[in-house]
Amino acid sequence: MSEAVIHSEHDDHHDHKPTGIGRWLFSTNHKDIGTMYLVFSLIMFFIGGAMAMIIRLELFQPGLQFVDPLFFNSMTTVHALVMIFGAVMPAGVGLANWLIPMMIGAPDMALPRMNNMSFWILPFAFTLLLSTLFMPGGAPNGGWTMYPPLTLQLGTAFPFLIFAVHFLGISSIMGAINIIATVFNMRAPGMTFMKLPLFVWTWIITAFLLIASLPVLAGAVTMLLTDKFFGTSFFDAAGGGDPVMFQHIFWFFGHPEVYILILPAFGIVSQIIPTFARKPLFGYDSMVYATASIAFLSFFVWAHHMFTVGMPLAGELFFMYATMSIAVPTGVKIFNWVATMWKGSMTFETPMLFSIAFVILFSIGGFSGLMLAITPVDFQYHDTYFVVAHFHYVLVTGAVFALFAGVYFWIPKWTGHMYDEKLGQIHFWISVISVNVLFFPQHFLGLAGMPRRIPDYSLQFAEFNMVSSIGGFVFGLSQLLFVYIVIKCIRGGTRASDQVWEGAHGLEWTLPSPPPFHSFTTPPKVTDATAHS
Amino acid sequence: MVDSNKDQDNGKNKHEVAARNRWLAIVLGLIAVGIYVIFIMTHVK
Repeated sequence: MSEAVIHSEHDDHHDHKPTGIGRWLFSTNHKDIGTMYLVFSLIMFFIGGAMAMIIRLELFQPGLQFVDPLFFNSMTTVHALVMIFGAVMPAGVGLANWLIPMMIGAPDMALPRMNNMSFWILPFAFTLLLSTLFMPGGAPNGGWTMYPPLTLQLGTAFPFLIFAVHFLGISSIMGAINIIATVFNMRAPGMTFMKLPLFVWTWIITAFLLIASLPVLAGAVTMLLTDKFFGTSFFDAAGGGDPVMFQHIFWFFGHPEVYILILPAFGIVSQIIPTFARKPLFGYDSMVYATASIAFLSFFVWAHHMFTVGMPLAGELFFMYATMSIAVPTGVKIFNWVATMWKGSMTFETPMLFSIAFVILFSIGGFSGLMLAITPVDFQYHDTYFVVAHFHYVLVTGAVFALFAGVYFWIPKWTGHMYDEKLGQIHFWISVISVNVLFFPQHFLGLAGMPRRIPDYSLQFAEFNMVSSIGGFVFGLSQLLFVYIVIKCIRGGTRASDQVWEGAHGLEWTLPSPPPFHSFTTPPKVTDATAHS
Repeated sequence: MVDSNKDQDNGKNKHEVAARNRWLAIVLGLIAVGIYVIFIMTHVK
C-alpha cells in the first residue's frame, strides 16, 4: 500500500464561532448542524425507547397489566415512527453532515441554508406527531405502515400523522439533495469517486434512494388524506379503490427505506474495521458495486412484505427470488469485512467491538430475512414475533450498533477528547448481551405462533416474553451509560491526537481534534494513493 | 460559511461551484416532485 500524501491547509487561525442561541437556530455550519442532528436523534432514541419499555412492560406477563390495548397499539406505532424517522435516519444524517465535508476536503455542505432548514423541520414534524399522544382518541395506533382502512378510522390524530410524514419526507429529500450536490461538486482536487471513503459512497447511494422512494411515500399518504377528507376512493373498495394498492405503494417506498437505514451503517463499519485491523479495506471496488447493487435491487422486492395478501404464483416466485438475490451483494460485503480482518493486527477498542458485533448479529438478521423471503415459509411467519426479531436484529444490532461504533470512533475527533475506554467496553458488553436476551427469544415466540402488535397472549408464550422483557429493560437502562460516556467525553478527558487511531486514514484525520469551525477553506490536495486506504 | 468570492485552489471559482450546486439541487428537487405528482396522477381514474 502506498502511503497517502495529503497536503492540507488548516484555516484555524481565525476560528470565529457565532455565539448564543443564534449559533444553533441560524446555523449554516455543517459541524453544528451535524451536532444538532445527533443530539436530536439521541433524544428521539430515548422517547422511542421509553415506548419500547412500555411495550415490554405490558408483555412481561400474560394478561392486560398496565395499559389500555389502544394505547399499547399507539406505542407500537409511534415507537416505530420515532425510531425510524426520528432516531436512526437523523443519526445517519448527523454523521453525514459532520463527516462528508471533512472526508472529501470541502469547506461545508453545498447548500448550507437548506441544510439548516432540513434540520429544523424535524423538531416541528415530531411536535406534530407526538402531540397526538395528548389528543382525544390518542396517537396513531394502526401500525407505522398506515394501512387503510384501519388508519382511515383514526380520529384527530390522522391529519397530524399525515402532515408529520410529509414534513419528514421533505426534510430527508432536502438532506439527500445536499449530500449529492456536496459530493458531486465539492470534492477536493484529486479526490476522484473511486477514492472516496466508503462512508461517503454509501451516503451518495442512500441519498439517491431517498430521492427516488420518499416521494412515493408522500404520494401514498397524500392519497390517504384525500380519501379521508376530500371524498376520493384511492384505497376504498366501496368507491372502486383498492386497499391492497396502498400496501404495494407503501412497500415500494418501505423496502428501499430499509436500505436507507442500513447502508450508512455499512459505510461506518467499512471505515472502522480497516482502522482497527490496520489493513486497507478488502475489495473496495466490490464494496461500492455491492452497495449500488443492493440499492438497485431494493426497488424490485417490495411484495415480500405482503405475500399473504394473495398474488399470482409468478409474482410470489419473482419476489421470492429477487429478495434472495439481495443476499449475494450483502454476502460480498460480509466476506469483505471478514477478509479485511483476516491476518490483520487487530485491537479491540469499543468502535471495533461494536463493528464486529454488527457483522455477526446483522448476519443473523440477514439469515432470518432469507427465511422470511421463502414464500410458503412466510405464510407461517407473517405478522408473528419472528418478523419482529428479524427486523430488530437488522435495525438494532445492525443500524444502531453501527451508529454506536461510529460515535465512539469519531467522538475523539469531534470533541478533542478520548472517551472513557473502560466504560465504553462495559457499555458494549452489557448492550450486546442484553440485546440478544431481548430479541433472540422472539424468534422462538414467532415460530410458536405469537402474533405481533398484541398486548396480551396465550400462556405458552409467558416464559420467553418474560426473558425478552428483562433483556429489554437492561438494554434500555444501559443506554444511560452511553449518554454518561458521551457527556463525560464532551466535558473533558485525555487529549486526542489529530489522527486519533493508529490505523486511521483519510482527510478527516488530517484535521486537528477538534477540527476548526471552518475546515478546508482552502481545499487539500489529495495526491498519490487513495484517501480511504 | 466561507468567503464566496474566494477562488478555490482547484481552479474552480466559488460562484461557479455555487451555481452548479443550485442547478443540481433544482434538478434533483424537480425529480422528487415529479415522482410525487406522477405517482398520484397514475392512480387517478
